[in-house]
Amino acid sequence: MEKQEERCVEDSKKDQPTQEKGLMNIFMKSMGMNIDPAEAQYRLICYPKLINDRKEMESYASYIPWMTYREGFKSIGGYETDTGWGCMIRVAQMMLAYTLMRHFKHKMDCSQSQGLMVADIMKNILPLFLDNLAQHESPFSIQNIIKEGEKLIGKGAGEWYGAHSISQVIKTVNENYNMQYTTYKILTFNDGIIYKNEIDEVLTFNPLNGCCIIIPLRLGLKKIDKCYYTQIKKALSHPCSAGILGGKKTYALYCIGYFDEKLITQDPHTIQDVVDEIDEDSFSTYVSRGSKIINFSDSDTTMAFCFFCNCPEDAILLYESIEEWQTQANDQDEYLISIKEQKQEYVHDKDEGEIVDDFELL
Amino acid sequence: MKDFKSQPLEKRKSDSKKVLKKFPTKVPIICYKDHNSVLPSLEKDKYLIPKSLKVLEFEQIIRKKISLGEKEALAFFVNEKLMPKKDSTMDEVYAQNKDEDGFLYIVYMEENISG
Repeated sequence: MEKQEERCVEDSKKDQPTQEKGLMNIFMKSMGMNIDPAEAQYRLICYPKLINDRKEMESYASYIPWMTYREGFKSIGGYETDTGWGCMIRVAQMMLAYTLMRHFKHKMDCSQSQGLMVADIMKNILPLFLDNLAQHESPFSIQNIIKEGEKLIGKGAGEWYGAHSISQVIKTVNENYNMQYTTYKILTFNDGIIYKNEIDEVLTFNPLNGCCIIIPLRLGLKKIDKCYYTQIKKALSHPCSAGILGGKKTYALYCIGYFDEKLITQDPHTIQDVVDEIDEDSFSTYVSRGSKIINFSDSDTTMAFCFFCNCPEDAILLYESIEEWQTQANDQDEYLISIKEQKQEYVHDKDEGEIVDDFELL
Repeated sequence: MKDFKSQPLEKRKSDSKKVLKKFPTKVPIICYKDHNSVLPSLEKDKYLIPKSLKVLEFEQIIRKKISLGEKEALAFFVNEKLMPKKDSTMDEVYAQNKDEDGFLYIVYMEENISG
């Protein structure tokens, strides 16, 4: 949680209804024209061309389902709300929803059906996140995330997550509960190195597979070093980008794009009532009321970079870009993500060395 | 590390010179956790490590030493900056980042969390 006064000036607009934008636009139009929202076609989920453009990026961001604190859910470890502790979980849910949409859309394109409809989001994506449905019905519910988090890293309800820890947990949650989209896979690369063979394996094993790639990093002790700004921009403007799980100090945000040296983010820090199903009323609670803008310099140092590849061609594009970022890097613009064919097992036999002159010899 | 740096510069300089001469294939480093970190501390903070050791390898050794699982976040910093490329050798890192006293200072830290 963050104190009110610390918030950016720019988000004073945040609370104004921006109903002309994104999901809500389609929804309102469909209601106004008295047609079934199922008929309203969802805007194609392709990355905007004007990356460094605030308006374009904000409009783009508004198409991403909005996940927030909820209250009134079935008790998890004594909590009926995640207010004050669940923001990083909600940020991860936004990324999951967004990449699942891209995955779903790609599958539809392959079977040559119509474009993505609001009804598809309502029927196929959002129910995966309902708070009160656990187990396989709602694989990415906060219930499942907490349960797996407790098993995997000992973080129960009420405990704070970081971009790194939540990435590990959603990967396991996807493996254990996601029966609806078995072609949706998650890989995390914790050393800052992407191993091509792991991604290729996922994408070639089944041509329908999609792969969400998460690279959690810490970019400084107190502040993000300026030498990484260019790389953050490059990552966010890549066609495979699925944003960054990040935020400001102790305040998680889903970073989707940038303009100048500011990040365009979706903010989960609004408390809404829990909903038990997705209908026309509850759908509107998943529609963002506007983006939050933060400066690169205020951003938290822990960031998880996310990419989504729908096919081997996407992966090749990503590999080429990462290699290019590496070769273009210099002292003022250092690269963040490395790439390798496969993981190398280091065999250093000396973990405990003898002590000589008060030094441990490794 | 505070204790270590509180020793006079000249003493630290001669210490590093001495070990560099005695172990020409190794570099002297001081490794410790950031004062804000909640991670376990290392038993020792003074190490002599092979010049040819890769950054990633070094990180894995420290991870083992503090018994931190693979899924836990761990980041290393030299001079407040993220440790250089994982493929670099510790010799390269040493050459570029060593302190005037002849030691390389490496700090480790976990992730930041949000609520």
